[in-house]
Amino acid sequence: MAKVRILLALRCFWRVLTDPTVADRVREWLDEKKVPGLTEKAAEEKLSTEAVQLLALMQREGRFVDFLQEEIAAFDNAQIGAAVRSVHEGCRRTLEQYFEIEPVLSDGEGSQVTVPEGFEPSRIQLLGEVRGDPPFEGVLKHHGWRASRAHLPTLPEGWDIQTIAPAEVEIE
Amino acid sequence: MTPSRYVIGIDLGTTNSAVAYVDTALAAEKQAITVFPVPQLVHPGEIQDISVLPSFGYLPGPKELPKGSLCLPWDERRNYAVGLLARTLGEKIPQRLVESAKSWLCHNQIDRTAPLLPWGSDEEVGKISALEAVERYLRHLKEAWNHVIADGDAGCTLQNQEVFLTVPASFDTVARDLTAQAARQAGIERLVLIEEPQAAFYAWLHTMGEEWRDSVSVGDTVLVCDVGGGTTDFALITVFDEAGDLVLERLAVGEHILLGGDNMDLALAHLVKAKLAEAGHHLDLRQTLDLRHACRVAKERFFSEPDITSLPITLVGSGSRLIGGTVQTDLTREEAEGIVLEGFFSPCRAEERPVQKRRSALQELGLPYAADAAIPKHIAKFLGENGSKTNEPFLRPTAMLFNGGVFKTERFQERIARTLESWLSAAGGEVPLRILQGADHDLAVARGAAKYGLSRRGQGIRIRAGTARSYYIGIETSMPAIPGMEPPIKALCVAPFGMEEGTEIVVPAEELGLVVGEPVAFRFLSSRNRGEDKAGQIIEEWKRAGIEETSPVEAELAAQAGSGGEALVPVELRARATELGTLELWCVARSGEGEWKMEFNVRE
Repeated sequence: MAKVRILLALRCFWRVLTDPTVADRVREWLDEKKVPGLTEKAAEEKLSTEAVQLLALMQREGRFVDFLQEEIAAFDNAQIGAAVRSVHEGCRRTLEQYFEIEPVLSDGEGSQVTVPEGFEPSRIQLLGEVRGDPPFEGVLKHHGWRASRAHLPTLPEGWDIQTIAPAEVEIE
Repeated sequence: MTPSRYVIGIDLGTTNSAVAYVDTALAAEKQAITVFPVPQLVHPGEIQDISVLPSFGYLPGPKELPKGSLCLPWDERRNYAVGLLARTLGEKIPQRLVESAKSWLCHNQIDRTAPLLPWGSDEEVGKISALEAVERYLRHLKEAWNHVIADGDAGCTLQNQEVFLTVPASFDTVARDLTAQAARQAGIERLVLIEEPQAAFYAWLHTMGEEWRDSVSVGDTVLVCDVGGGTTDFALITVFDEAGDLVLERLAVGEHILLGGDNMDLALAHLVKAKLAEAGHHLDLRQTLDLRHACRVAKERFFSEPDITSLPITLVGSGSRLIGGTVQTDLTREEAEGIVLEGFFSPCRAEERPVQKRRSALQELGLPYAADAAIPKHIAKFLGENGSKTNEPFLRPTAMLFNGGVFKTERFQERIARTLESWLSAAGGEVPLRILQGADHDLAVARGAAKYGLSRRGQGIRIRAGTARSYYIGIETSMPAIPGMEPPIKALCVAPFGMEEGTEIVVPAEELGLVVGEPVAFRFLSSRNRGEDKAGQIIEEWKRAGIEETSPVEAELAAQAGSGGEALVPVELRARATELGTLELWCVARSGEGEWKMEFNVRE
């Protein structure tokens, strides 16, 4: 961990030294004291608007929260299966509407792949008998997913961001 | 006027509207008819571009939606919705939903400029008129265009482009006039109207390119059958030879039939709902809406995938109990075919006619929905009405062009074609009926309207059309007064069928005199099937002759300076078919000292 931070510090040092715009931005940032760790706690207490909004979208189109919140132990598989089709259809529509999602590795699952030197561990996870240094040869088990675009719609001004789904009252 | 950069076609549909355009600034080989995806609200506060603008309006209550829900990128203070959001909000609160505005526009028993829509709703929703509803859809299209395409360039704004707007072929000149008025109020200035089935035919011409000349030949009569979401429209187009050139002419148009694909989905939904009720499940509002959607999907699958024998219809619970509240049933092929094929496409004989609604003394003044759902019977009636043109019991088409979302299912096309072939065969004529392959059944009318715009610029053949009806004014007959009875009227033909645009006819008639300073009103009549009547002809038994009443026309001759009091001015009547696609009636003083346009009174 320490080694990584030293590297990062050196990178910052070099960028600030060579790039005046980076230097200006770092100065602004330090002056505002937006140092992580100091404000982290406050942020935690605030609701993450986008996270709730995503739940709201999944609920609106696919009744996602209803589905997860329901006790399903008592239902048989056929009954669950019937309902899941509509949850799947709606959630998938949301995914397609607001995200562009693609595999991390485009090779087919089951094919032989080479993990290069300097690979990004957050993008590729190694399993099994990992020994020595990359490059590694292995079998692609899951091609992974990454979002190349994620854009949630802007909420209207007066919208209560805590509401995942409004209560519905039918007037007879 | 100089030709505009864009040639724009607008399909103002009963349930969906669409815009297609050509950018003439591009190099000739790059010019294509492009559909304009319309930015619109799809959820409160959320805009998306969609290929159609659903023709619905929603009038929200004061506290109904969070602030900012109806904001548009070009108008932050919009207080109503049109398009997809309007439709989805209105499904949940129907009494605030404006729908079928276009069909109300040609309903001549209501005042189309009075705030009556949503029909039957409480006054507190702040109703609007049919005219205003249509104006709102067109304004949205204009503003969306200006926001996206013009984007600050005044030369590209929609008001500066040539716009070709579609109307049902069945619209009489009053309804066409109102449509043009709505467009003008929405700020569309360079406007020409075009009939929908003709636009569908232009779209076909466009897809065929020059090859269309190989697909039809002299003597062909094409029946255009356009079944949209809510309305059905027919037209006949013939091909003949003039000095060695192929000429296309629109021979006849059908009546306004309120019957379409939505009726099929509703009929299926009705059946499924009954099945579920039998099993003890009663659907609530949300499930009923899901059911309509599920039935539309099922209809499309049954009639395009012949191997499917049964489809599950699943409606998830509408409370937070999703799985526990789920109800399910199966819709079998037998049931779906029974409802859709037998109900809507059932074969019939050429002599059969649609069942008419029995008129009771107390009739609700709603939209005149078709009482008979069988589309072939409506075709039989249309062809029968036009049989006199060829001195036969019915006019025989040689080819068909299908349009509208319903005909994405090819089996429906075949079903109708087979029925018509059985009529042709029974009448002992040429049997095989060719089906002209149209494309893009949902957007063909908008594309065809843009193509028509190009044809008017000399790029491609034009269909000869002219007025789709003959028009008459009512003249009182002289007879002794009988208390309580209006004197009967005769119909004086003022404009024959097929008057070409830009032409004028002086109606030969006996002396007519108008009183200065007093409004005069005439009853105004029209017919779709009397191609033989000449201007000046008088028809006595007009009701039996297939002439129907439309809105009255009025004129008021302002008293001219110098002339004293109630002078009687001898006038003659003139009918003008405008470039726009409407008909105007003028009273012209025989002395040459003035002319007065007669206005349609739509406030009846």
